[in-house]
Amino acid sequence: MRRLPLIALALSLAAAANAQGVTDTEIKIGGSTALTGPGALVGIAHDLGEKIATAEINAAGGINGRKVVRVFEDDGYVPARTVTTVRKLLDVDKVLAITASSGTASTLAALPMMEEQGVPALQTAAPNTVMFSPMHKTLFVVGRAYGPGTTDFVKFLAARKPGAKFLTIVQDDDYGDDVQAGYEKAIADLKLSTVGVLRYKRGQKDFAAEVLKAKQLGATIIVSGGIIAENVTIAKEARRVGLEAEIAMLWSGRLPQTIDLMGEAGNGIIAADYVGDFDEGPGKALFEKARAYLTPEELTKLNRYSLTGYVGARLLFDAIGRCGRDVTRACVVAKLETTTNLDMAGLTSPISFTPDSRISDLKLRYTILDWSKKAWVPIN
Amino acid sequence: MQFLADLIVSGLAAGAVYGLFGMAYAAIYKATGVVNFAQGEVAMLIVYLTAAVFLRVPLPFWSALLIAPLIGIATGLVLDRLVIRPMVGRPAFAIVMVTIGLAVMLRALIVLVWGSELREFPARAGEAVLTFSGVGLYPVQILAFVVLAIAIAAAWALLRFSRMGLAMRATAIDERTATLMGIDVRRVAAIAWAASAGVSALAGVLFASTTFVGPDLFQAGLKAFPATIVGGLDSVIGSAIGGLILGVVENLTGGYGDTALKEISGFIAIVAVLMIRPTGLFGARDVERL
Amino acid sequence: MPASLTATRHPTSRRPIPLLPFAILAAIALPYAANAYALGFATTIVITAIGVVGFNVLTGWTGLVSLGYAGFFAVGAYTQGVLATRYGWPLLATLPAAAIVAALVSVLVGAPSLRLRGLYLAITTLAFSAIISHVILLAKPLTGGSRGFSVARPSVLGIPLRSDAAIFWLCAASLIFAVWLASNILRSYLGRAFFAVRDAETAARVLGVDVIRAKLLAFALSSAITGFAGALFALNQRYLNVENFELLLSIEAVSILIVGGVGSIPGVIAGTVFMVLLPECARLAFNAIGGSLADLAGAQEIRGVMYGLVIILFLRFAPGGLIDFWHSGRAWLRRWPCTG
Repeated sequence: MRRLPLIALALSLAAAANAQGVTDTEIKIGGSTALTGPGALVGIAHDLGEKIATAEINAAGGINGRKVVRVFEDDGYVPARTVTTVRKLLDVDKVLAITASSGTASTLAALPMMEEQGVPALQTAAPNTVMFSPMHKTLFVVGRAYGPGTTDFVKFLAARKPGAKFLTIVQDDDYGDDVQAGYEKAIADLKLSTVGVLRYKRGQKDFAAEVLKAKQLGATIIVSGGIIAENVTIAKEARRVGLEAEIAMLWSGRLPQTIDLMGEAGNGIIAADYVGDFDEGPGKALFEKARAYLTPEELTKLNRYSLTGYVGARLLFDAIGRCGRDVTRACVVAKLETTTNLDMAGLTSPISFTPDSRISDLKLRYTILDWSKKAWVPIN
Repeated sequence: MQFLADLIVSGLAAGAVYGLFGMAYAAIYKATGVVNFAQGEVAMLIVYLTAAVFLRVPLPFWSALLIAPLIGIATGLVLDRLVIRPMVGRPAFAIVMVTIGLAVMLRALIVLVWGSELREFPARAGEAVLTFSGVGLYPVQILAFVVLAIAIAAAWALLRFSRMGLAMRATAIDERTATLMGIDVRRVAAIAWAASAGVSALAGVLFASTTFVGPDLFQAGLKAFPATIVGGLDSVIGSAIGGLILGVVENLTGGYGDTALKEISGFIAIVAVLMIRPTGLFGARDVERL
Repeated sequence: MPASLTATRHPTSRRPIPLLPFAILAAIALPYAANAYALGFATTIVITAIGVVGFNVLTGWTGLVSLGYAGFFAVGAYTQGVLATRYGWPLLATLPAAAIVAALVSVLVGAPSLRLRGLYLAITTLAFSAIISHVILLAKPLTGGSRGFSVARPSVLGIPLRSDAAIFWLCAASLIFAVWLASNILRSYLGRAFFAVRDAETAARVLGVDVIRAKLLAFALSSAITGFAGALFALNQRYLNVENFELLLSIEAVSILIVGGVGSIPGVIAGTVFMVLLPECARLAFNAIGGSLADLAGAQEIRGVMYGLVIILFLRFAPGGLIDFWHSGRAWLRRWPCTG
């Protein structure tokens, strides 16, 4: 095609000059997530987390004298739309890096484009194994992947309650695949007793059959692999049918809203997560800081996804900072992959990547829902 | 066994909601020959409106079962007047497309106006678990049975004995002849829409109370659609029973078979019924209506 | 009783050919003139138009109301994706394969549905579309299940189709070909048989038209074209996921027919441009107006509201679609200033 040499010329010219997204005074980064629609709970919180990080770093003078400018697009968590928004961020806004691309399917859809242009990209909201295994050079996943996280969780639960009979209810898609793989690994590693793996269709509302089956099979610990609503329904159904089992859930639904929705049925549910909360410890300190940067209404929208967004942004700023004044996409990727034990002030465990690894494998902490306090209380 | 009893009762509880939606589908089809693809979305709208009322004025739960249908009847009349009546005389599929357009629009509009968070229905029916010979039910679920039973009885009586019921059955058989016989077909349609919306309002409130108030409430309407195909699109009571059957089949499939197949059992039912007996178990009319 | 959505229209095919030189010039020039974002839109418009040209054959001309568009589009897309990525087939083989597989699948859907009409046919095709979705999910090793998979961009006669511009030209050429094909069907015996089935099936049967053959051919031809569009979609998107092929896609196809004018090929083009650009225009307008509307500007829901409104308003006030406006407008202009 006769256009190829032209494109190559243009690209090399662009590379020779100031790199994409970088001017003498500004660094432009971008992201796409659900700011409206069903995923907005996650997306808006993520956006706000990045907002805090950006305001923080700009208040301290920017990165090596350059201010950080953020462009955020709304893709409603629809993969086809993410392709459009990321294309816009890359071709029209010409950002240096992409800090968010919604969920797994969306990220994978936009990935060919991002890889082609060598754009450093972060995934902090949905740590799915498929995004770093096989590894994509420019995509960095922050968190603990669903699969390995489930393995850790099950082992923790087994230690806490020896002799338990495990059962898991997982979603019938790639997320559920990841959770199931992790579950089965823990069972195999420790030779635990498992009575069933039940799969449900995404969007399902009625869990009577699943919960009844769990009761029938005699499960004493249920690893609930729902996202938000599913876990609530499972908890409520368990209470209705008189299922006496401990319910354990992963971090996706560990939100303030979940506590309200579950009501009494949620008391005693155990949750695993790799970030803390805004109402205790380092999260609380960050919340106080955020008062200066967010409106009161925005403060009410913060949740764990704000923390993951914040942490991701800090990671990116650190890498950009280590490039000095000579900031290019390639440099940022190189610095990201050599991040070692980056301290996050206790919000998460320290972040590390290596040239061969694109997952930061953060440590899990465990909490139990205390209905009387309406909060997630840390376990030991 | 306890397991079987639990599954069946859970299935009936879910099926009661399907049955109510089924009746709503059938009411409109029976009177106008149109399938209202916006049934679930209309119910969702009414639930949000009802919830808005209850957020301002704390009232006991049972009043929701009165207020919601009232809002529903009003909504049904408005929709009929604004959207459906102008399409009288047009081919039935054009009207069906209008309902599809309505559905798509309402789904999006509700998210734009109320956001997409999940909330609890503001009026609670009680968290106590009531057990009947080992099977547990929340009060809402028991209410669902009661409401369905009353709806079936009311429908039977109205269709059999009242003049409006007679007019509906006549219109359903042949619109043109009914008009010639002096029946105001447009009024029949309006009443069908109002009644249908009223019944879906009940279904919606009951469903939202067992799950959440959220922008995907409309799915209950979609899931209930096989109920009316199986029961018979033009049989109001048949559709109610179809709903119960659907709920039980779903739960039995999930309990004894693969839980992942639970959701698709409805679609398979539709295809099977349409291939073998297109008018459904209790339907009587000619399939080639169009 | 005719199963046509709106008034019975027998489109004549006077229009398409004189526009051809302009269309070709515009297609060649576009990638140079537009930025990547706009080019993306143009490609989407072209692909959608091809798909609906196919859909029009089934629903517009033969009057077989189908809500299964998404399913046939998906079959074409996944056939292209699987054959190109997993088996390394060349483009010249995968594109026809996509069309053929889609056609075969549609015959599987059409054959048992021959007795059904109108509403029941619509529901059946809807159910089949859902079943196709589930099959795609189940065939994990091939299709990547719910995760989906990346589609390779193969080469044509040794020339790699890497750039977006190349994809656009391929799609534009395909659209021209599809329109030409459809116009020829329109003028042929088959086209007249289609109309006969739509408008007066019993009479047609009496007059010796093989109604069963016509219906099956309508399904096959329609889905072949739609499947072809699906294959192009796979090439353009480069990533296939079952979520791309939901009910909304089928509704979009019907909306385009309604908006453009049922049965008319230029109407399909006009309708596609309208329906694809409308949400984008709304987004720009919301951003310009600002305030709380600007927050909603990017919302996917805007698309839904637009589709719904458009369907309702067009069916109510303009059942003949944009093409009707066009004809009325021209007629009015011809009479001007003696309109009265």
